[in-house]
Amino acid sequence: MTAIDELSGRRILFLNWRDLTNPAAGGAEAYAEQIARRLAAAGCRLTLFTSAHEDAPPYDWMDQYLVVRRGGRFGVYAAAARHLRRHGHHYDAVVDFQNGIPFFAPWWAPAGTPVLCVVHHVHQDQFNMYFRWPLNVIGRLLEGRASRRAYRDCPLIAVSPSTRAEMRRQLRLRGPVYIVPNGIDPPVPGRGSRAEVPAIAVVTRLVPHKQLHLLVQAVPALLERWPDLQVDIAGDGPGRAALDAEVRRLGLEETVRLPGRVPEQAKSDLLSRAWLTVAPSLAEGWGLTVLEANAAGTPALAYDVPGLRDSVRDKVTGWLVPPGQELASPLIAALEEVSDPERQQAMADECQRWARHFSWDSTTDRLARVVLSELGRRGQPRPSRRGTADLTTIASWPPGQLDGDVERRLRKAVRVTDLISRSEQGLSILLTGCDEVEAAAVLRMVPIVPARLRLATTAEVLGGISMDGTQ
Amino acid sequence: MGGILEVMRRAGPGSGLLPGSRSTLMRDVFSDTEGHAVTAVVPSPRNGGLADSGPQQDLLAALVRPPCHLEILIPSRNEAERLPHTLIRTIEYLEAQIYSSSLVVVDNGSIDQTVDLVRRVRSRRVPVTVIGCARPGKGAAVRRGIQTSRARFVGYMDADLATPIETLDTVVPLLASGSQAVVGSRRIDGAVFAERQPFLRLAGGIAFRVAASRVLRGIADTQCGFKFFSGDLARAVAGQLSIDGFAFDVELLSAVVQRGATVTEVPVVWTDQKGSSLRPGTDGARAIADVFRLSRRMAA
Repeated sequence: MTAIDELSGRRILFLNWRDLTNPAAGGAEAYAEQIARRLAAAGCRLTLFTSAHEDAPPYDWMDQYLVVRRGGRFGVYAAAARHLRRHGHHYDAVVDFQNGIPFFAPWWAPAGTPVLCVVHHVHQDQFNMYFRWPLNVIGRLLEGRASRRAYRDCPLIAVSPSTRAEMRRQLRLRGPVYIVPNGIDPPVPGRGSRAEVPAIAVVTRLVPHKQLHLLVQAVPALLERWPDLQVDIAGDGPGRAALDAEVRRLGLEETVRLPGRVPEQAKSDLLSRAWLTVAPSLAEGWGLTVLEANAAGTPALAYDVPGLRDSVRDKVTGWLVPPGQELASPLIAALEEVSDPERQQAMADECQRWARHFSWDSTTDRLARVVLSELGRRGQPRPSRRGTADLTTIASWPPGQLDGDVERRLRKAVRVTDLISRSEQGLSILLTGCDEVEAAAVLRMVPIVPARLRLATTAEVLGGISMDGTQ
Repeated sequence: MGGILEVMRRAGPGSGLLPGSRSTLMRDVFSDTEGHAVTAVVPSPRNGGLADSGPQQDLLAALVRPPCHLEILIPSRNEAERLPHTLIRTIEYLEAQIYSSSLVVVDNGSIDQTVDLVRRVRSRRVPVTVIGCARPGKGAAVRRGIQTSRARFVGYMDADLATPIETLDTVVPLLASGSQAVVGSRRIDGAVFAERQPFLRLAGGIAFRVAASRVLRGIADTQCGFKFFSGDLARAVAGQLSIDGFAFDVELLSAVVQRGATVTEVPVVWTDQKGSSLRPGTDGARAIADVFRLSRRMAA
């Protein structure tokens, strides 16, 4: 029985700023809806509380869950508080998806109701960019000091280790933080094979902070080494006109194409033809475009910035470049590397294997595990064997060293949030929040001796599995 | 030392981690693409992976590292900025030495991907390992490192390389000629200690030294983060230490002195690095309180 099935029949409330029908919906909405849909399909009685927008009815059935829309951009927070005060006792658990400003569900929900807080991105710097005094100060206060107080006893969920680092550094949140990464939709298989000539493809929303002009500016230098280079930058957005002007200014119309927004199939075709993709962003919550390229077997060259440093594994599924550095020389080196067909194939395999770790099913499973662990400890103090250090230890066993019963006994002895997985490399378990000594103590209770015990890398924390043979 | 080799030998052939000698172990380690695979290596038990319930020591036996001549611990918490330079510099130095050595970063709950960073470091001769310590505090981290070490000499240094690594030129011969404990000192003849500290830090430092002198007589500088010990002595005292914070150094040295060993101070050319993790208010006050507690315990 999976963790998702165990939530069957439970009543869970999701609080999210917007829903997918909202014209301004983005990645955070997809995250909430993908999880909601899967939990509802498994028999969980799910309600999504969100803000109202034009034409949308106040109550709505989406797939098998209820959507309640109340209040506007800011009014939704008061409406959610009212809803929790009035109907909070109907719910077994509340998941509070914060988008800059959280819903402060622990203050409004009935005492004892488990509340989880999901953080996509820390917005402290953005309040200054988008709001004037005093709104920016209020925003920072609500996200920082007020959340610290409200969510003191709640488990927190971050979508990536970078986000977790910002939660610790900027928001100074102290509680346990679990990592529940974004999934990717299963890719449409691309038609055609890898291009004969060097090709770079980028499919993304064209906004200034993606800094794609840096790629365009690197092209003249690339052409000296690779005269038949092709660059496709697909997608639309407010930055497209400026990018187009840059291409003209440098006279690169022959090399750089800007096809605009492309359908799924064309996107897959572009990505699977390309030798690599480029992500020179200032920062990302999580590099979705990178993972989509990886799913097509295409490695990515990216700046070593929050978000991207999680999704790109340097020299395995791509290349990380110090932020601000010009792109021409690392791009020449990267193209040189993948011009060797053997190396290209090896990287493509590694990319696809990496991308397969991120499915919405496993995202839902990981979130469900945190909900389950909270439901399980209802009213009891948090067990204190493990601290809140952001260390994750992996215990692993090669295949054939374990009998079939071990997995079941392991599951009984460890926390529901610890991830057990089996692969051709054997069995591995990720124990969050403990070092090797504590992990060994946990495994003694099974009792079982691990073949290897070591700290998990970022990639392993994200993938939820030991990546011993592949690093 | 025989213990761990014995353990490895018992693992039998085919496990891929069973060298005939230590040098082949090293080669095995570096043929690994990850750069270093020196983590817990335990035998596959005959009963299908099940453990016999042995004493606590067995548990640590699974975590001990292979023996070497000198092992350097670098306790580190969010040092990803400064650690790369320190590691490169230290490896450069150690590779040029004739003795075998290893470098161990003790990740004290970092949020800046310290584990990834250390895993990427490669060296032909010097194994570089990262181990974890969930318990916060430099003292806890150093203890964690000492307890799983099997080196002949073990010690620790700061992640910011405030003490130049060349200080080992004097430290290692002293250890080899029988000194039990050799510590860097900024307050004896020959030391260079350019210091401009804010008032609170300065006053705290004086208060700390006054408190520490009640516990430890005759040691001019207890707080320089460059201390090396005979491995057996360090392992013997590590179990009885309890201070996690910055007063750990005083406790460690006083435990060493209590065992009848002499502490040799060597002058260091100290450079004060920016970005110290010591917060004078909270950490400093706690360190001073810890030392007073220690002196009371010793008087009792």
